[in-house]
Amino acid sequence: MNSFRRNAHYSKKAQMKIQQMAFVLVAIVLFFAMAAIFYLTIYTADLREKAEYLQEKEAIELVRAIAGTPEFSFSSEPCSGCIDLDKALIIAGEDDYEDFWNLDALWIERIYPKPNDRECTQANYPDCGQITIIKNSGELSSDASAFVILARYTEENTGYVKYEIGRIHAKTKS
Amino acid sequence: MKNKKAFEFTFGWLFAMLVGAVILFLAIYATINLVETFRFRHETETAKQIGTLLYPVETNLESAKSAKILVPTETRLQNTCESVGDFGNQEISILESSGIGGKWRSPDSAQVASTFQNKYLFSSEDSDAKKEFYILSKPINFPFKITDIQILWADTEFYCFANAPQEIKKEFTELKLKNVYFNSSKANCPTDSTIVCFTESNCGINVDISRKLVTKNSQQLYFDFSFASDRNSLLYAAIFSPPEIYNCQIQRLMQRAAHLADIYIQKSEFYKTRGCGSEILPGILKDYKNTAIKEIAEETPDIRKLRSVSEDLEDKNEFLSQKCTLF
Repeated sequence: MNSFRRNAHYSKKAQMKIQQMAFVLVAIVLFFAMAAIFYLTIYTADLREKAEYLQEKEAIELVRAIAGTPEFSFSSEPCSGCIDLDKALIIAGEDDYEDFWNLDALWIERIYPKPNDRECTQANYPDCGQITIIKNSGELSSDASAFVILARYTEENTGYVKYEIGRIHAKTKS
Repeated sequence: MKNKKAFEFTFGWLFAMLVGAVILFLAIYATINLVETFRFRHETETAKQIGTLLYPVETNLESAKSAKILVPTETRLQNTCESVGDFGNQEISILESSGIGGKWRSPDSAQVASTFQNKYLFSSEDSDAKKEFYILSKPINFPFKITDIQILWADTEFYCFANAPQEIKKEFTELKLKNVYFNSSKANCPTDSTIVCFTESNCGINVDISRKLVTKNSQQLYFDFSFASDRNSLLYAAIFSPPEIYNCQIQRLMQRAAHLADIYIQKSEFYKTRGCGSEILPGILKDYKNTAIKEIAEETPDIRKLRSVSEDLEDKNEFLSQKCTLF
């Protein structure tokens, strides 16, 4: 009977030790878990920033290079970085080019001379101020723009190539 | 008898060891997963950056441009081409070597490729670079500019051009392109290089300039000389890419050419209303477009079939007064 009491007493002490250890281990696990969550929160925020930065960079590079692409380049006369306004108007009506540049929006603005702010159509061209090639879906995204030379053939004064100042705008897909 | 020196293995010890092992296992598992996530993230970023880097390499009025991409660790660039849809897709994905886990992440693991419809990359399916990738950018004029293509190879890939024409040697030398050697005969080529023969036979790659044929892996690839000064664009593309990539990219180039022909047909109609059009050009452009569309469907597209209609197109376009030319 005496021996039984002594064993029971040891058992309680051991249980306490086990509980202590269990609490310490649980505390360690919780500590590491919280540290991991804290780290992942910072990591995710950085990821979003990085994605936005890469999109912005792509938009800038694309806007710089787009005047040289065959869909836009004016090739009747040697003119580096000139946009063919006639071609731009044709592409504006083509659905196939909607996803071609991976852009959310793409439009060309006539800066000087600027006849008006109206959107260009086959009916009012060239008496218009803007050609929208890809219509903005309304999502917030990085945008970039660059000044360009706009070239088009005009039949005025027995016909000549008219050069104007314009600006090309692009928004990348978010 | 009780051994007083004996170690008492209590339940406390057993419990601590068990839980310790579980914690250690979880910690190692979490670390490996985190490292994998890091690698995945970095590889996706690099793929996007490489895609973006290809924009400034594109040519404008130049006949060629070269560039070098430096990578911090051993990197594998995976080139995938799809010819489905209006323009097909160029997919670029990156794998970076690591000391933790496998050298390369498993092909079955999550991978996000950067997809472009407006890029044409000619390279091996897997290009492994220790430090550098080399890029040669060339325009394709047929007869109007279709696009720029990028030819890419890694610093672990070596090419030896045996008895190559002088103009090719001059171009590579002037652009200071690395890992491409020029020799008078295949016997003088380094053994670890891919030998490209222009006059001899039985080489890794055989080029027949007169028949506009490149033979590699017993498969024939058709190329043609580009119009304007950038003649050899497609010849280089055929040399530096495997048949699957080359044929797929040619199909995509045909898709682009067909769309551009459509734009020029409409531009010609536009010009007509301003007294500057041509009666013949829209018809030739339609023939051009139909020939291109026919070749898109071919498993081994033959760009040579566009030659005669392209020459006709160029002649008729040049015949117009300069201000009225379509391209």
